[in-house]
This record gives sequence, C-alpha cells and structure tokens, in this order.
Amino acid sequence: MTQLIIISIYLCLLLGLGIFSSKLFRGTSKDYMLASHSIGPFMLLMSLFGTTMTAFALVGSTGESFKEGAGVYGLLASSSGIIHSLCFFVLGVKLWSLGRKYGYTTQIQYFRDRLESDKIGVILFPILVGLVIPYLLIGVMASGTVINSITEGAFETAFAEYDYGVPPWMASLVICIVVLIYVFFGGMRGTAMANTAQTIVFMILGLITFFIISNKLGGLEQATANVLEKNPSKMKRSVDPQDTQEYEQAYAKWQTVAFYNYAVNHQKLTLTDEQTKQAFDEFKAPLPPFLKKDRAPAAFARRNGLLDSLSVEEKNHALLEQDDREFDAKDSDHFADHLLTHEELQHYPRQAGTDEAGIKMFKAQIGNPSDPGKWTRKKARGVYRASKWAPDAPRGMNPWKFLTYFFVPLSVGMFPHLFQHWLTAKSADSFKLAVVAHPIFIMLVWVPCVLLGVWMTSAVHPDTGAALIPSHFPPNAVLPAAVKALTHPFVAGLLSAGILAAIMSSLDSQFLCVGTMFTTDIVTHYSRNDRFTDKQLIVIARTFIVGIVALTYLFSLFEPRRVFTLGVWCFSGFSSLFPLVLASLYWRKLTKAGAYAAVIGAGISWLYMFQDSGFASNPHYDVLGVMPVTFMILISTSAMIIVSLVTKPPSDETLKKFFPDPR
Amino acid sequence: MNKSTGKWIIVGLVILLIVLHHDIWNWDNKEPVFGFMPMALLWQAGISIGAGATWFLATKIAWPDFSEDDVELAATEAVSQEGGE
Repeated sequence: MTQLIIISIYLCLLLGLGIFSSKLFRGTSKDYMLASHSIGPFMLLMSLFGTTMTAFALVGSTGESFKEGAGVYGLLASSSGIIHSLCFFVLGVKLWSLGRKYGYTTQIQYFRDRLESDKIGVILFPILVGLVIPYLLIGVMASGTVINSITEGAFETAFAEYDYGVPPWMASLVICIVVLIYVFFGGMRGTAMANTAQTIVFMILGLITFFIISNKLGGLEQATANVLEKNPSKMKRSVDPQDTQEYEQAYAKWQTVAFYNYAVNHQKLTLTDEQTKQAFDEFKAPLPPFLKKDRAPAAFARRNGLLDSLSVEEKNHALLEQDDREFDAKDSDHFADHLLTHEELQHYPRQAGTDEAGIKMFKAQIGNPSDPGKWTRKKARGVYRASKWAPDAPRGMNPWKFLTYFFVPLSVGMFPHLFQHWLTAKSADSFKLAVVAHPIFIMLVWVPCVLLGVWMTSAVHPDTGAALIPSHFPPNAVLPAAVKALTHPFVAGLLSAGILAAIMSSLDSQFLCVGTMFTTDIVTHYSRNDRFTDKQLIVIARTFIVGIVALTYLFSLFEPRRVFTLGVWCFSGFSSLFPLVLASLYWRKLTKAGAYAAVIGAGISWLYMFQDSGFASNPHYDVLGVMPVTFMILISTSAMIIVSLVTKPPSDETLKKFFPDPR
Repeated sequence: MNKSTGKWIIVGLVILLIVLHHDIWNWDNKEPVFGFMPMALLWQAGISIGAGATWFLATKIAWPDFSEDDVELAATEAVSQEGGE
C-alpha cells in the first residue's frame, strides 16, 4: 500500500505542475504548440532527453539484458549516443533555422514547402501518426505493468486475479488521464517543464535504485560473480561452452520427461508401486516436489528401456505436447523422418491458454503475496513455463545484426515530436548542450539498467536463497520485480515514481505532437483562412489527442509484446524515412516524385516485414541475418534516388529558398 | 582552423567511433573489469563518452554558421503577415 500512496502523491504533484505551467500560458496556439520558441539550453536538453528516454530505456533495456546479456547496451545505447547527437547537429539545427524563418510548426509543413507538394501531407500524416501509436503503446503498456507489479499485495481481497495489486488496465488508464490533463493545461511549455522535472527525478532515483539493489545482492563484485558462475554467456556476446553444456544436459532431461509423459498419456505406461519407489530412491537431484514427480519416474523409465518402443513420430508429438505447441497437419508427411531439433520445434506455434494451465497447476500455492508463503499468479505462470517447457537455448549476438542495429537510432531524425521540440529552442546555440550531453546522459541511464538485467539472471533472494526471477519471467516485469523484491516499500514507491516519470516524459510530447499535426496539417491546412479561432484549434487538437490515446489504450489491452521488440519496430519505421529528411536538407536533386517513392517504399517494406515477424511477436526476427531496418532503408533510399534522377527537379525558387548558398 | 577543416575532423571522429563500436575483438570476453563490469558493457560505455567528447569538439570547431538575425527578421515578418500574436 505504501508504494501505491507514493505513486498517487507523485501523480498529484505532476498535475499541480501542469496547473502551475498553465498560469504561464499565453493563450495562443503557437504558445500551446511551440512555447513561443522560448526554451533555453538546459530545458531543451532535459526535454529532448526525457522525450527520447522512454519505457524502452528503463523497462525495455533491463528486460532485454535479462534475456540477451550485457551486449544489449551496444545494440542501441552507444549507437544512439553517436547517432542522436548527429541528428540534432546535422538535421535539428538546420530544421530549427528553417522552421523559425518560414514559420513551420510540423514536419509536414516543411515537406509540403520543400517538395512543392500539397499531397505529400496526405500520405505522410497517416504514416507518422501510425508509427507514433506503437511508440505510445510502449509507454501505456509498460506503465500498467510497472504499477501492477509494484503494488502486488496492496489490497487484502480486491483484484485477486491481478495479484491483489492495481490492475494493469486501470493503471494504464490513470497514467493516460494524468498525462492528458497536464498536457491540456500546460501545452508545450507545461510539457517541457514536466519533462525537465521528471528527467531529473528518474535519473536521480535510477542511480539510487542501482546502488540499493547492488548492495542487497552482496555488492557490485558479488552480483557479477553470481552471473559468471551461473550464466557466463550473459557477460559477453557469444555463447559460453559452460552454458552450452548445461543446456544440452537440461534439454536431454526435458526430452526424457516429454517422452515419459507421452507414454503415460497415450500408451498407458504405468510404473508399479515398487518401480515408483525405486525411481524416487534413485533420483538424487535436489528439486522441488512438483518437478520431482515427473522427472524421477521419467529417468527411471529411460534407464530401464521403457520408452524404447516410441517411434520417431510419437517422440515428435511428445515434444510438441510437452512444450505446449500446436501440431500442424501439413507437416505430417515428414514428421516421422527425424527427431525435431529444438530450433525446428520452436517454429510450431504455442497453444492458446497455456498461462491458465499454470494457474490451474499451482492453484493451491497462489494467494495474496503479502503472505510470504503464497505465490503471485505471475510467479505461478513463470514456474509452470520453467518446469514444463523446454529450457531456453543460450543465444549469442550475430555480429552482422549488431552492426545493422546502427540504423535503428536514425529514427530520431524523423520523430515528429522531436521536430516539434527542436522548434521550441530559443536560439541555435541552445542545441549545443543537448548535442554534447545526450550521449553521457544515455550512458548514465542505460549502464545501471543493463547491469541490473544481467545480474537478475543469476540473483538469489538474500533471505531465502531461491532464484529471484525464474528464466521464463516476462521481461517487461523484470525491473519492477527486482525493485519490489530488493528494496523497502517506501523506496520501491519512490523508484516506481521514477520509472513512471521516464514513461510519462515521453508520452506527453507524443500526445501534444499528434494533436499539433492534426490541427496544423489537416484542419487548418484544408479549411479556409481564419475559419477557426485559436481557442477552437486547441479544442480540436485536444479532441484528436483523446481519440488517439483511446485507440492506443485499446491496443494495450491485447496480448503484450516485449517492450524492446516493439520499440525497435517502431523506431525502424521512422528510420526508413530518415533518407527523406536528410536528402531534403542536403540534396538539391530530390524531387516530389522521389519523395513519394521513398515514403511508399518505406511504408510497404515496413508493413510487410512487421506482419512477417508476427506483429513483433518474434523477438529474434531478422532478414538474411541482418536487422530488417537495413532493407527498409535500402529500399526507400534506392527508390528515392532512382525516381528523383528521372523526374522533374524542383523549381529555381524552391532551390533558392532552401539552398541559398550557390554550389 | 576554418569550419570546413573542423567538419572533416568531426566526420573522421564519427567514422572512428562507428568502427570502434563494432568491437568484434571483445565478443568472447566474459572477464569483468574492476571486478564487476562486463567488458562488453565497459567498452560501449567508453564509446558513449567518446561520442560526448566528439560532439563537444563539434560545437567548438564545426558548429554551423547562419545569421540568427536573418532568422529573427524572417520570423518577425512571418508573424506580422499572420497578424501578430
């Protein structure tokens, strides 16, 4: 309950800040959307950084390093330090000067002018808004997970199906409403002020969390020593021979259990009482009773040749059943050819409702987590998966995939909310601090999160000695689970507020941005001059924002994806449009048709690959061993260059306007 | 130093950072540095510091030149055409 009270106080303070900033509101739409170009270096740095560091940076990076190891930092954090500042430097300052000179508020206004095309807005608007939605989704989804995990056991009898904590759907809804209110009150100025305050909050609290948790794990060196001993592959980017050996042994034992369960269920294999007693007497592994009940008789049956009569086809069915996967009848012809490898097995889809099986299996243990003897439903699901499903194969990082991750942070060049933030700058010099400090700030946030994710793979509870987080635990819940398990409730409440601060400092800019785009690029652009007053425009912007937030909220109620995976897909879409903004600023030969070709190429390639990945359900999806964004950029760039070279160049007037220096 | 030379120095440093970022030589190194820090993480954190230093240099020797007076003038004209705030 303490955590819930602290989170509630924090949200109230944030609302207060929104109301305070509304006192500074000048009442014009320009002030609402761009804070009248009044943002100085420090606030610009904090608001740009707060906007780019989302749930992805805290919840996503911790969960991803829990799954993939310390190499996760190199995938996106260090590359972002180079690329984000490069974008601020090469694109941001130039777009700011053009925006100030010609009065742009949105990207589409700029592209319409530069490309001499009114219709480019019609094609860009749905694509940009469509890509912002998954970005919003990351924050909305993660806020629900964080609040639910941290408040587990807060209620005595209510919300039993959510582990007696605030349900994720309710938590996400509250966060959306709070952010909407302070964005509506304060506009861009309120957003920039809230971002600055929240960025300071999450950076300070993040560092405090890190030191508290490392102390609880026995200090920095002990926490890392545990990983070296139990999961050495998480310390590097290749697979450690120790992990391979352990996995092969675990997988062989798992296969035996699968064959035994199949023989019991389909061939009526039963051990006599004497055989059962012997099986348990001979089984020496120190496992909990629910694991021993399968494994001891399975090992006995294998040793005594009781499973030898199973055919290859039956064994394959056994593996599918044990791993809760669906048999595909079209594979029945070659199903008897050979025993499925683990990799082949993973191509079969998981059956629906497997989580419910976990709840059913451990019904007796599940209860209110405020009672130390009881399990949460999340733990029951995790233990079910860890005990029934095949063990995870250790995974290294493909160097080509690592290299092509470099294209992902280029997305910053096309984020519509960053474009809007760039235009709030008081002067070009305001950018200097943001350009320099951004990589360092990324490091300060990501290094502790990645270390924490790595440590959690091997951490044990300081009091009980049990594994703190089972290997199949949902990655999005790793950070809040670690905070809850290893800190005092008061500190956990403060730290959760810090995580929520990071999430909300991105949501606010994105909310404001979609409203600005709708009023500027659609409503004002397609209505006659002065049809709407400033006040009416602000109301229209707010209505559209509420519509988009409602749509995102609905999406968040579906099956959650890994925050990291969803984020990478969203960023990849924006990155595929990066060649367009770069060429528009530095290539005189870019034509209207070339721009259309780039946008269409980017849109089609993104949609095709996104659906091919099962709509982000496959976190290891690649194309020919590299990141899909590589091909998206290749396609959009080639289409843009080829079409631009064979179509009519822009008019001299436009070239003079955007390229005043003669070559 | 003129701005053009400065820009080329920054381009060179950015390329160097990109090359160093792909630290294939650290792929198999699991030994912690300072007793707790995975090499895969420490090296990349170093890249972040290198990026900060490069961009600091960029603000000193390659910051783009454009007259802010022109920008202000054009912005004022645009506002007065719209009827002002």
